[in-house]
Parts: sequence; C-alpha cells; structure tokens
Amino acid sequence: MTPAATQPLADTVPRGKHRILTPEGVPLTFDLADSGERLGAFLLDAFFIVLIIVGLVIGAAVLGWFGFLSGGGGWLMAALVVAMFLVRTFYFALSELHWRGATPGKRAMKLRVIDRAGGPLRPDAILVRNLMREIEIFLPLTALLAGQGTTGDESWMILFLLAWSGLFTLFPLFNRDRLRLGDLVAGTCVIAAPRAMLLRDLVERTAKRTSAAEEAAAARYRFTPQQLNVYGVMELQTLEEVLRRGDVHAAATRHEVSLRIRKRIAWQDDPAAAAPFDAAAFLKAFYAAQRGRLEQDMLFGVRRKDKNDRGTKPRLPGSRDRRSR
Amino acid sequence: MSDALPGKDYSGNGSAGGAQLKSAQFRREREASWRALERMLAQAESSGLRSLSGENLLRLPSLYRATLSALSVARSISLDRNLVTYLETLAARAYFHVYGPRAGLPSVMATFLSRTLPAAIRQMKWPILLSAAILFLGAGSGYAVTLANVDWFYTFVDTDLASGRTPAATTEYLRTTLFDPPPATDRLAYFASALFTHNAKITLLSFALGIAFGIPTLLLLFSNGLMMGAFVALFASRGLGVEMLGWLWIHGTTEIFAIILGGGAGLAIGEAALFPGEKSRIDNLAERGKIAGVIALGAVLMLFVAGGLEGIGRQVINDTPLRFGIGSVMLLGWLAYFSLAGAASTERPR
Repeated sequence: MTPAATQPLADTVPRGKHRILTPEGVPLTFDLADSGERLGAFLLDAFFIVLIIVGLVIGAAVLGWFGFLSGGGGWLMAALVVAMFLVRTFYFALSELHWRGATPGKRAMKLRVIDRAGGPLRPDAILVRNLMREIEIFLPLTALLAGQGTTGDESWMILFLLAWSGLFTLFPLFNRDRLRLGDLVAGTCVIAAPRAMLLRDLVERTAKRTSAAEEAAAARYRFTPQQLNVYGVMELQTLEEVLRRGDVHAAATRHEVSLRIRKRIAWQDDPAAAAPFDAAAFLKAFYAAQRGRLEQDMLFGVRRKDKNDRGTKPRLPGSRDRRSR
Repeated sequence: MSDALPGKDYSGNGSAGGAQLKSAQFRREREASWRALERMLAQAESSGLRSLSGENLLRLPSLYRATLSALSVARSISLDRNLVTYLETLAARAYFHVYGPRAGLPSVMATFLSRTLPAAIRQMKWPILLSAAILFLGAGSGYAVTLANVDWFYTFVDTDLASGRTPAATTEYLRTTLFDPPPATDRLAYFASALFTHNAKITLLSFALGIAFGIPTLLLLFSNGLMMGAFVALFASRGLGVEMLGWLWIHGTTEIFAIILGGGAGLAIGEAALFPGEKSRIDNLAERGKIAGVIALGAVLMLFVAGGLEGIGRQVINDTPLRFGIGSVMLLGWLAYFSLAGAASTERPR
C-alpha cells in the first residue's frame, strides 16, 4: 500500500471501535456493541428461551392430557427434562451457528459476533463463547435462587458466591473491547452490524446537460490555488456534512459557513454578477474544487490533515486522537 | 464555458468539475457492482444465504473481494467520506457472509465427532491427565480417611445426595441400594435424564470455572473425588466393596471419564490464563479456549451416554461381573475412539 493509504490507518484505534485485518489484508473498523445493546439482546434471547421452555412444558402437558404415552408418562418427563437442558445450554450456540454469529436477540438489536483477529468465525469459537455462559449467567442465577430463605453463615456464603460470580458477569464493563469471558476464551468480540447508505456524489451532477444558471455559477464561483491551500481533509469532510444536511437549519448553516470561508480565503465576488450570492452553489463549487485539489495532492503522497497541517513540521503524536474522542 | 471538458485543471480554476475528479470517475465505474452486492446482502440478511441463487452465491466472494479492493483504492484516492464509509460497511457486511460459520449443523457435528473432538483431547492430554490425577487423589484420600474413621463420611458427602446411604444405614439396606429391583422403565428414563442434566451442569461449570486460573476446577475435582472415595469406603467397610465397584463401574467409566475431561478442559483454560507462553495472554486463551470448549461439549455427550447406562442399564442389570464387563467395554471404546479417530489424516502440526 502507498503511504497515503496506510497513514490515516496507522493511528491507534479509538475507544469503542474494533479493527480487524481481513484475510485479504484490508483493515476494517467496526463499532463495538455497547453494553446496553448487548443487555437488550440478552434479555430478548432469555425471553425466547423462557418462551420455548414454556412451549415445551405446555406441549408435554397436552400430550400427557391425551394420554399419549400410557404408563405414567415417565418417558415424556425424561424427554422434557433433556429438552429443557438442551434449550438452556445450546440455544445461543445453535442460533449463532445458524444465523452466522447472531442470535435472534442480537439480530433484533443489530449486533454480531466476529472473530477478534478477523479470521473466519469458527463453530468451535461459537460453542465455547456460549458454554462460558455457565458461569456468567447460570452460576449467579443459581446463587440467587439458593439465597432465598437462607440465614447466618449460609447466606454469607451465598453473598460471597454472588459477588464472585458477579465479577464474571460484569467482566465486559472492565475491558476495552467489551469482551465477556466467553469472548475472551473464544477469541471473538461483539460489534454493531454496520449500515450506511451510498449517497449521491456531491461533485456529480444529476442532469446531463448544464443549465445556463449552472454555467453562470461555475464561472462565478472560481478559486485560485492559493485559496485552495488554506483548508485540509478535516475541513473538507466537515463541509461534506454541511452540504449533505437536509434539516430546517441547513440553509442558515450553509449561509454562515459560506461567509466564514469567504472571509478566511479572501474570496471576492464578481462585482458584475447580476444574481444574488448563492451560498449553496458557492459551497458546492468550493467543495468540488477543494476535493479535487486535496485528492490530487494525495496521489502525490501528500495528505493535508487539516488547516493546521502545513506538511513540513511533524505532527504531534496524539493530536488526532484528541480530536476523535 | 462548459466544465464538462475532460482533463481540465480543476485545482486551478476549480469550477464544479465533478466529471474530472478521479474519485468520482472511480465511483461511476464501480458503483453498479457495489449495488449488486448490496442487493445480494440484503436478501441474504433477511432470508438467509440459501435463498440466493447458485449463480449469485458464486459471485458473492468475488464481489466481496472487488469491494475490498475498491475500499483500499477509495481510502487512498477519495476524500468523499460518505463513499469510504459506505464501502467499509458494505465490505464488512459481505465479510460476515464470506467468513461466517459456513457449515450447517449436521456437517459441523459430523466433523466434530470424527475429527475435532478426538484431536482436541489428544492435544490437551496433559491437563486431562492432571485432572484425572487430582480426581483420583481425592478419591484415594476420601477412601483412606473414611475407612480409618467412618465419621469422615459426613464431611465429604452431602447427606441430601446420599439418600440414606450413610454409615448409620444397615448393611442390608446398603445392599438393596446396589441391587434394586428395577422399577418400570419409564420411571428409569426420567431418573436417567435427571442424572444427565445434573452431571452435565456440574461438568460445564467445572469447565467454565477454569477461567479463574483453574483453581475452582481443581477444588471441584478434588471434592468430587473425596465423595467417590468416601462412598466406596462406606460400602467396603461392610464387605460390599466389589459389588459397589461394579455398581459404579458400569456407568462410571463413562461418567467419571467425562468429568475428568470437563475438568481437564477447565484446567487447560486456567493454564492458558496463567502461562501464556510465547503468545500474548489473550491470544493464547483464545486458541486454547476453543480446543477446551470442544472437549467440554464432548464431555456433555459422554454424560448423555452415561445417564443412559446409569439410569437404565445399572438398574436393569444386577449382575456384578456383567456390570464390570459393560463398564470395561465402554472404557476401552472411549480410549480407542479418542486415541485413534481421525489421527492419521488430520493431526495438527505441533
């Protein structure tokens, strides 16, 4: 890769993000799922598990009612006990296997399990990350249930067990990648499934032909190389955001931004221009010119990060990080 | 003046010359294939990868790689943040499908049984042997101590679990617990399933607790051993030692083997957490953890078999030599399976 391509990626990964290197060697950055989303997904899944178990019990009761299995229904009870155990233990593993790293709860919350290093998500990783729930969920749960109605030394023991197993449960809150113990042991992490729409390119025109007004605008809003030397990538992308905004204040913001840019780059309007100054057209033209300029610089290996980056003095370490937090 | 002329110096006179931007041109050329991939992913995400036609399924990896390379290019030539973000998420969504768990459950289970499980057990033989040593150390201690002073029985064994089989019981009663007249088979099935789930939960617990540097796993193994030893000692003190062993042997060779495997898996995790070796602790845990999880699942499957043997076989078969025979056959079977299955073709290097 060219230096221009690696440079913006060489920075440390910001908090709340996780970067993997795909087997093809391309880095991809994901948003880590936050604790609330994961708790929501878990509660949904727990609800589904309870639903399934209730369904199993009702099913067994109905079968028993109709005397489906004569002779005491012991086989039915046996099947029910085993089925309940299987649901409780393997619901997560099987659904993650089936839906490629997302249980129904995770699907609803738009979360996903990935291999932490970027490799394929293997079935054994799915298995082990979910078997660890034994101490993350079931141990504290058992301690809670056992705590009912105990007194004296015994309840102190239970309290100790609860606190100790609570540490396992709360483990994701204490590490950077929000790994629970199962993730730690399986080499996985949970990320927010990404979604982004491809919007229209701001420098692309929709209509094939250019109207007279557009041509006039193109002739009017022109910039010298010196004027394009002022800003860097960060300002360009902020401008992109301003131009893509569609809320009620967008026009006012654009007007204000255009005034600031005019002042900063000392841009003079054509005194002979008949039409009033159009902030949106000005900004669009400036965006296109500025992007063209910066992209051309990038092809030559120069990436001006922001207006303070003059390309000569070395960048202070951490200066980008402070901004991104 | 028209700004649609190719090759115009946009940086100099900078009119809205989108047609000339290399990044815009790059996007125009490739956008169709990104949209195609996006449609494919939307379908796969909503109704599963199987809903894609065979032709599309074949195109998915190549579209994924094309998108990845477009992403690399876009990162180095384009400053359109929306475009780069879009490509990044598109590549990520495709990545889930290309590198997600591939196989369906039947083939996963087949590979698991024929190769993964035996290989994992061979790879983790030292933690497993340690687990066995601790369990038998506990059993030996429990046996010796209880034989010397039978009151120790109450220390080692939870009286709820003993269900009357205590030093206070008569020898006759103890004998009947070994050779029960079998109740109806459907009662036995229920008994077996309850045993299975109880043992499986304990084994999974001793596996998962290995993360606390293996210490709780060691304690669980040792205390289980003590209990076993105390029981055998109680029966041995009444001259029922061989009968007791037969009662234990028929299912115990499977059940205790499974407990040892579960404990060994826990110890393997604990060892990885304590002694990372050449790799970082977290990488080492991730690698050994997967192998240990495979063993834990294997232990659960064995316990299912053991539940059948214990709940049904032991109650129906009341002949001590036959009990020993079945238990021994099971033991040899497990040993042969774990040491031989898949060994020729797929042993991992190392």
